Amino acid sequence: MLEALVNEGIAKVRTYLSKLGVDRPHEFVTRFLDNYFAINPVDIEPTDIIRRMAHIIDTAEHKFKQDVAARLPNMSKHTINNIAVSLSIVSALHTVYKILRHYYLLGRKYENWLLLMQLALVLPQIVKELSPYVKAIDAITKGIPIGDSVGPLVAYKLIGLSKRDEIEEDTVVSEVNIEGRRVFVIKAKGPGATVGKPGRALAKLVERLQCRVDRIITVDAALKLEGEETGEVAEGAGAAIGDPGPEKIEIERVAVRCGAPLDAVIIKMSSEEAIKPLSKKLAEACEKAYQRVLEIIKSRTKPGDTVIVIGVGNSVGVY
Amino acid sequence: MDGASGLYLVLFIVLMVILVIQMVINYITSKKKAQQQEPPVKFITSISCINNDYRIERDYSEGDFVGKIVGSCPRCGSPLVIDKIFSITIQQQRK
Ligand SMILES: [Zn+2]
Repeated sequence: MLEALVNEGIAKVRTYLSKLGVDRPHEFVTRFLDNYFAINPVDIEPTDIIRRMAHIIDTAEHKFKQDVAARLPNMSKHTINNIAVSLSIVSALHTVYKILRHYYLLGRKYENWLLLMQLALVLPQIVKELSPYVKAIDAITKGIPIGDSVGPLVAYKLIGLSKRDEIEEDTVVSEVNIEGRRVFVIKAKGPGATVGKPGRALAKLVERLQCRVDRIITVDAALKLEGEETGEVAEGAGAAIGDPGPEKIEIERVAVRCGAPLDAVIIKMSSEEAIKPLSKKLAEACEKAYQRVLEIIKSRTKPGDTVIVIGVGNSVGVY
Repeated sequence: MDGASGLYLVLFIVLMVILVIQMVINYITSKKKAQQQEPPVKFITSISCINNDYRIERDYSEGDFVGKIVGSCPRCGSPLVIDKIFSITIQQQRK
């Protein structure tokens, strides 16, 4: 059953690839399934652990994208990003499948029925949790915004079509004027599927501004608790971003270094909704979050201030 | 000693049977649920004029993205821009 699910995912990416005119798509996908793991850095020696981690993530990402690009010459960067993200989803699915198979085979090998029993019991839940991932492939290959795109969508609402300046790889910044405040908005570069490097982009931008920043606002999707309402917008303090660490710490460091208050605006959704195509409810929540950000800018900063807004998330289908 | 392990064996078997039954029930209901859930969805593209005086919604077509200019406004001639793309379930639309 799970195998069927994983295969469905693989098949989807394969048809997408063949639609794009890639020859031998099957071989292409299988090659990407097992390679490109990243090993966590040593964590009992915390000195520069973040830098090491960022380095490893970068290496893995670059290698991955380079290889995708090498196999697919004359493709736009957005398409390559879309392919890379769908491949990594399939590869995640494949990993789960492999782990489960591992335990299943172990259980059989040592005739450990307890292990098999546990597996049988959790399997339905796992299948349920994984099926949205397969759906997400659809959205991403088509270029439809997903739940996680709410951050970039709010950013888009702020900046409209104003000029995007690529400050970091896959990350853009735009400047707009909102009631006398200079507002810089950072988001991942769309409309391809990428989350960009918001932390490092912020660090660069702040350097350009010589630390003259009066407020930093992060906007992101956040996991709701079961029972909470989807699309609820909440406001708090801190960096709202769900990366493994490097980008988040960069935002926090910048905020501390420049003494800028760090606001977080979150839009709540389930992990399923975060990767499924954006629902109407969440599209409306974007509007609410946008109003909230405007409110923060108007009520907590003065005209003449400099504000940075970061729309964290995947910018699939969002310019 | 033997009696105790015999008792455990019986208990164990009873437990197993209960678990298996539970599992089967779970399996069947979860399958049913999976069939009930996930109503078909459809993607809608919402387009508005940058001056906010005109707005239409249409079905999503491939290549659309938020921020794409798709023509000019019939009222004021300014660019028409896709401002939302979202999914709705088909039932929702019927009501
Ligand atoms: Zn108009």
